[in-house]
Amino acid sequence: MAYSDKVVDHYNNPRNVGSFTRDTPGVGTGLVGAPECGDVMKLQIKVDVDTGVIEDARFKTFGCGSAIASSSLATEWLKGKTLDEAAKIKNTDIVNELKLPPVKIHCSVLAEDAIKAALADYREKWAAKAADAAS
Amino acid sequence: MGLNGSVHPIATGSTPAIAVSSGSACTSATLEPSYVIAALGASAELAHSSIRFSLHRFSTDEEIDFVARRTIAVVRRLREMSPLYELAKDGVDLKSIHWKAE
Repeated sequence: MAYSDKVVDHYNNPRNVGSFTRDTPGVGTGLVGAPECGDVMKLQIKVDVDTGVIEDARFKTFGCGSAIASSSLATEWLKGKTLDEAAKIKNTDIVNELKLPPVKIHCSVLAEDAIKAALADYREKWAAKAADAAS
Repeated sequence: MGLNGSVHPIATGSTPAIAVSSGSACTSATLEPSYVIAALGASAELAHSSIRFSLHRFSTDEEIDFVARRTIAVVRRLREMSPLYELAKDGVDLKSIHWKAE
C-alpha cells in the first residue's frame, strides 16, 4: 500500500503537534479511539470566547501514518474557522484531500470524531460562560 | 510503548532507507494486531506497537547499527506525538480511561 505524497508530508512534518492545558479558558479537548484498536487521537481547539473563532489547534496521535496525517490536516483546517464551520468538516473531505485508500478510511472517521468531541467539550466547558458574560 | 508499529513503513521518508512492518508477515495485510504476538501473551495495545525487522544473510553489522540508530530516533519522535505516552508520563493508568472503541 502506497501513501500519497500529502500523507507522507503530514507524517514527516506534522502540523500543530502538542497540547494545551485542559483548563485554559476556551480550550476544548477531544480524546477518541482506543489503544486496543491501534488508534487514539487527542485533538484540542483554542477558541476566542468572544468571537467563537478557533484561534489555534493542537493534536497528538497514536496510530499509523494516515491517522497522524488525518489529525494534522484537521488542526490546519480548524484554525480560523467558527465553531459552526468546524462542525461541517466531514471525514470524506479528509479522505479526498489525503487520497486515503479504503483500508484507511477509519483514520478520517476518527479525525471527524475528534473534531466533534473537541467542539462538544468546548461547548460544555466554556460556551455557557461566554453566554453569561455577554448577558 | 506509546506508538503504533504500523506507522513505520514510511518512517524514514518518501524514499525510505529502511522498511519495517508491524506484527508478523502473516498479518501484515490487515489492521488486526498480530495473533503471533498475542500468543506470546502481549496485550492488543502492545501487539499494535510491535515492529518486525527482517534480516538476510548479507546484512552487515553497520547496517544493523544504522537501523538501530534510526529506530531510536523514530520511536522518540512518535512518542512525543503520542497521547498515550503523554498520559503515561503524567501517571495516568491507561486502563482507567473509558475508551470509546470504534
